[in-house]
Amino acid sequence: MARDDSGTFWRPDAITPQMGDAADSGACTMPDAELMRRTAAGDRSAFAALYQRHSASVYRFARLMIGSASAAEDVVQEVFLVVMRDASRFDAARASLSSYLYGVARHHTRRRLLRQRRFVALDPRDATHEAAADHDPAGDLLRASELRRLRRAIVAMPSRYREVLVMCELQDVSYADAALTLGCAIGTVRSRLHRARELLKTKMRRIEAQSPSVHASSIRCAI
Amino acid sequence: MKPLDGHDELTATLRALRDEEAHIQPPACVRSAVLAAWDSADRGGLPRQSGEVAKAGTWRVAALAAGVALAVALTRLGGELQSAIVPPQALAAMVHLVGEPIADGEAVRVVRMRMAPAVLASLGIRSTAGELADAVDVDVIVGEDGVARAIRLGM
Repeated sequence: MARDDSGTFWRPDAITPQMGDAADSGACTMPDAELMRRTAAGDRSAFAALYQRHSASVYRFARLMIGSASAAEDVVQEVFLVVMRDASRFDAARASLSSYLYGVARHHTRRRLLRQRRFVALDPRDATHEAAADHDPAGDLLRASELRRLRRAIVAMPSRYREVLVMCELQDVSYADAALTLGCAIGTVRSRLHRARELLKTKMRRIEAQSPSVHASSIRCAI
Repeated sequence: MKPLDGHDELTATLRALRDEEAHIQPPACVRSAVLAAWDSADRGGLPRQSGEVAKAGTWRVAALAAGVALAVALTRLGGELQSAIVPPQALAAMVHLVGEPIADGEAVRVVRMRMAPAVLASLGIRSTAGELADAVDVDVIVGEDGVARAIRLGM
């Protein structure tokens, strides 16, 4: 076990052998629809394989949408609780599992944002994400600063633009899948993405021009 | 810092962020919490299929019972808190999940993790102080067989 960055609790690296890998059962190679069918039938290794395959993208989506790593962890738990309960309702003919999961994650992030209409502090571990060893410390600093600015600008965008940007630009979701997730036309996704990029540029300029006295880790998270 | 004016520069910065994001994974404790919820549901907890009406009823009754037990424990602990100073180890409630009660001297592992309120609710644990917004730190008591047996909540 390792101590959390905040020093507040201990993180288990692994819990028990029984909660172990889906890799052991060969579930890792199965298509999503089959894993969902098996999950609905009570196959634990299929559920674990689904988690292994999709939890990271759900987590990253939620983190960028909410601007908080701990809130994103909650969203991941909530999303997979829904998978656990409603796996039998999933219809692979209607949408890919990714779209379905993004849809559930989107619902939970929006609910959370609406419930917590307040300033959300960006997690220190977000802002100081460890960079790989590099030979150019000055370049690293500049790059880190630029990315921090970008993260802040993304979190400050209205959520209807932010979600499109996060999915299509940062998560490699196709326009068609994004449209399914958001329940809108592909053309709407394209136009929102265009608008999102324009907004992003404006917000980044504004953040750059802000006084250095503004607290670096506290910004308003737009709904 | 150079200004971000051009379309290409924004694309490059977004790509850099995407590359950085690609390495980010949820912490292991999230997986543990999710799988603990699965294990609990697997032994008579949550219904997993929409057709399992009877199981759903059982689950609701079990959740209600656990909720009532927790509420009673919370009330009692609240009273104790008001009346006297109690040692720190008493400020916790144990919610039994599956299997036999944990015997004295039984080898168990205690795993501290954060659980979303929704996951706790799925285990029949609800706050008496209304809807919780943030995750709660809990101790999961794991038996030698690797099954999550109980949850201990700090008060």
